Amino acid sequence: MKRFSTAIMVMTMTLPLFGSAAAQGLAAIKQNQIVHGSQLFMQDFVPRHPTLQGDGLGPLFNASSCVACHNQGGVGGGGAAEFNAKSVGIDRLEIKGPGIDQQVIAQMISSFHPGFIDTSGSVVNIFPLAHHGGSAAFQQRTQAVLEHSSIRFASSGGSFDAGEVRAGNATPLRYTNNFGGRSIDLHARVYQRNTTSLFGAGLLDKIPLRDIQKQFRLQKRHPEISGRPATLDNGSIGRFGWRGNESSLLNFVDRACAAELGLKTRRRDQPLDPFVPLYQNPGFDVSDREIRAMSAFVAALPRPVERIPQPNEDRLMVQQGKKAFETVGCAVCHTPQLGDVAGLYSDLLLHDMGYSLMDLNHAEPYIVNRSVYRTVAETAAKVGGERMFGYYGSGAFIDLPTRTERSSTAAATEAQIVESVARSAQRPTSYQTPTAYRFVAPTRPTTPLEIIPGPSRSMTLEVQDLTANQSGGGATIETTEDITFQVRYQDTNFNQEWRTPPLWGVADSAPYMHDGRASTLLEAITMHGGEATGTRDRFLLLSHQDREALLLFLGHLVAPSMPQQKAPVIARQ
Amino acid sequence: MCGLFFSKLGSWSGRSFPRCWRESTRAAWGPLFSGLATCWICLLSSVAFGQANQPQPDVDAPFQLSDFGWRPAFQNDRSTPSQRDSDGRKLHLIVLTNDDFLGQAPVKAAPGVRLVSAIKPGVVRHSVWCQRSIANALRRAQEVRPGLSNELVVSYLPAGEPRLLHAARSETTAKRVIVMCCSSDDRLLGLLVGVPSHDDLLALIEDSQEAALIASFADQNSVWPDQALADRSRQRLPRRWRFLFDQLLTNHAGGKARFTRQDLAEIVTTTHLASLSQTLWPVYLKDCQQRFALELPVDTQRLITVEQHCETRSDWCQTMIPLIAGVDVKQHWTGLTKVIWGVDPYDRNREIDSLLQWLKAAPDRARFMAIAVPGDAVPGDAVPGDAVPGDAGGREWFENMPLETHVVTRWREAHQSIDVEDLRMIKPAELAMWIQHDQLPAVDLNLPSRLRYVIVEPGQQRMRLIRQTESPNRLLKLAEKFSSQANPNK
Repeated sequence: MKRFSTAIMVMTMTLPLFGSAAAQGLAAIKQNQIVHGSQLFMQDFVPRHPTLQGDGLGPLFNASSCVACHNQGGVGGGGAAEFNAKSVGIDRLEIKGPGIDQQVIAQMISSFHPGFIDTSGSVVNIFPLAHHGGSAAFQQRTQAVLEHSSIRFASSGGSFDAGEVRAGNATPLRYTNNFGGRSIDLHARVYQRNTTSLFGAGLLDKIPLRDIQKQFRLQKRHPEISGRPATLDNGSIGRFGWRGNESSLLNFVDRACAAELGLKTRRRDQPLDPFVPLYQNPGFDVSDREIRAMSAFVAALPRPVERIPQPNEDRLMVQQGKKAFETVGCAVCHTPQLGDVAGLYSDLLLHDMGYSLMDLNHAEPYIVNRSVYRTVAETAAKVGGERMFGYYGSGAFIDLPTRTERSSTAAATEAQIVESVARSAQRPTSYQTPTAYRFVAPTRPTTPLEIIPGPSRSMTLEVQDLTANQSGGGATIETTEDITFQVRYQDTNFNQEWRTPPLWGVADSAPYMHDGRASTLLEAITMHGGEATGTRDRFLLLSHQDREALLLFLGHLVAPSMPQQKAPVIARQ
Repeated sequence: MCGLFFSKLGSWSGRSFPRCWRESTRAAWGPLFSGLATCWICLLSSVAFGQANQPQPDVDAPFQLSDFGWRPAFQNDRSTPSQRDSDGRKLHLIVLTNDDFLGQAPVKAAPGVRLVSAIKPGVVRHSVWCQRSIANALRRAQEVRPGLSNELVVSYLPAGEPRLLHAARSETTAKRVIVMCCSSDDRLLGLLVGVPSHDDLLALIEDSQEAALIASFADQNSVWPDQALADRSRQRLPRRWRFLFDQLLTNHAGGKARFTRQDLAEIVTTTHLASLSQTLWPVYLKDCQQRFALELPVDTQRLITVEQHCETRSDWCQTMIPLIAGVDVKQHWTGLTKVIWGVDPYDRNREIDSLLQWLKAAPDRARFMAIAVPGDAVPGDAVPGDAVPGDAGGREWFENMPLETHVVTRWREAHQSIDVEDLRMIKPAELAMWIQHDQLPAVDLNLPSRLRYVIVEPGQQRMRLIRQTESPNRLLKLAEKFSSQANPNK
């Protein structure tokens, strides 16, 4: 007994030491991961990757490193308009001529740009226009599309400045063509996305969902503002990206590697050159370990700070501005504190910002109800085809109008009934007559109900053998189960919905708004529409001094001061 | 001299050295001459602005707006000769606002109108709505550039509608401000629309000093607009504005591409300013619509509000400055203000002695004062009014005549029935000054409709008001009545 108690005592004394050593070990591992991540973040990627057998950078990419765009106020900051990512979206189109079928539609739209035909052969109304890479034919066609617009682009690929973004929004591009006895009249627009700042992203990642939902419930009682969570297909809530398309920092980094750098990951495919549709990346360009390292580095980036002005009068002005910020109602959406994160100035909810801020890469439709539809080994047929889930948001399919078929209730399967209900309530986006086809990009979800595939999950089932004796137990069987979900959407203006961007560090992240169309904070505030119209008008009704004070207050929300980091010139060979 | 030169050269460092000089010097003369040219510019500017013998500023002294000579613009100079001498080398910053041009003078309220603000009788106080912001900007600018008060004189010029013409109500319009930086002889060098921050103010001063320097190099036969100023603007303007700017330079004043400075006084007239503004207006409006989400038709109120911030008209000012730099602000400030505000400013320096003499000249006769509306030769021509004369109904010719034409005709007849010697066309500013001079009750120029005639009855300090929506017959009858009273034999 004495020996036992001595052993317990020794264990009690040594455990913290072991624990401390383990914690130190973990910290060291974490530190190494962050250092590795920072190297990757600042690394100039190049095509070909011998270690992973991938094709490396590209074939289509917006920049060759993360830091090339994320550099305002230090490594990890936002980016100027010249680094904007861009996509081209079809607002509406009309094809005239005989015998219009899906193939004809694809052909006619391909004459504008073949990028609208996705890898599965479906025709979509929006696709990202990569700044660099691709075949000569791709570059030539992309150049031809951009020449239709009135925007002047910088050599880095984005708009030259905020004024050019505004010019692009104000002047949609039009494409007409005649061939094969048919004509096409297409109205499109170049949509852009400004590089977001990543400072404090680690804190954003840790905000509990309940805090976001609490904010959502609070706003339900507000007379003007009605934000909603960015509901994703997998049941999670998005918090990263201009539309809140990504639920976690890891996913965000994973997606950015694929979409911006053309680095194929285990979960995300890289964008492909539509002129080389059969191209296959022989491997992966970036490993999970590297994604985790980059994510750890981004999570470790310091949070922006609220600079305290030194002269007495300025401090009063800043305080006055902060008060005005709350008084006019900015703080309803730009919530100063969310959960335990103070100084964030965001509710992470999506808000309808008005038609002038429309973008066809729409937000994920608002899922108000999500329930398991089927859990069988076979996946139920999807209603409405494969849903796109893009990095910048989703688009719409350009296909022939669907017909409502009334299925016999007795003979119909459950899936057919759901499909029938969904189709009957579908809002049409395309119309067809014998000699014409018209498409108009949807402004709201086209269907209130959808069946979507969930993740496959492995299950271990225990089968008890009743004939065996008591000590014998039973057997275990490994099985894979496919789950499908039935989701019900709420009607929202999903082209106009944007996640409230955190205002921390806003002074060091110009230009503003999702596409960098606002050069200054004053412009950004006056561009608020939709739910924010009342708040904007109250801002404009303030005295000039109060308005200046509010802008001065925002001017004190700056990026964290960081030691100058020099990007290592390590090209991956 | 050499020591002084190098000591001054050393003192021009950091932000105190005009940014644009550095840029334009490098761009224009190349690296070989840039160093030499910069030295010359420094030397000349320090001599030109009298900094060589300036006393060292006391940076610890509390800031006072009066340090910058804060006073009404274009007033009779009551300063001492030594003050005038020192001011002669300074830039003149004019803060032009749409505050009541008569100041906060005691007013009698119109019947039924309660005075909102209490004003002490006998006290005329001029105020500028953004005075605190201007003072703050000057204070911050002086912190960055000590000794600024030795280079700058600041004056204010309220030129807005008076409360006397708004039934003594206050705050009838959104507040506006123009900041003009001039040479000591009031030649325009720089321009801002909106309340400047200290950064805006410093940039304006630096630009103006550069413009002054360029002007000092030029003689009477130099080409205008100055190439250096035009290049400076071109570098700063965004693409669309630059395109328009180049067009304006090419087609300036009816296709005549180049001018000499001698032509300046002839070229820059009010008409010319208006034509420039008309060219710029559609681009400016489109720019504002895109930048500030202005709704169509133009949301004037919001436009005025955002124009309180300098960034709104910044590109407009950059485009205009090379085309109007050097104009005599004292002579052209009303035209320039009208171009920016779209309405006539109120000029306090307008002479009303002749009006007063005319009123007193024949105390036994009624006096008819027709209030001039811009572009309106005869009251009733521009806007015919809504009222239909009661006696017109049923007449045969009325059926065939458009209603508007009929009303205008009636107004014209009524107007012509007034004896010529009893009629005088006056501007609203003259009306306000007369009301203030004679301490008459305030009137409302616009409510319930536009005021068109003010009639002073013989021997009485009483005004009869005739408005646009009234019947022209009332004017006609009054004209006939007073005419017959004055000339019983007629």
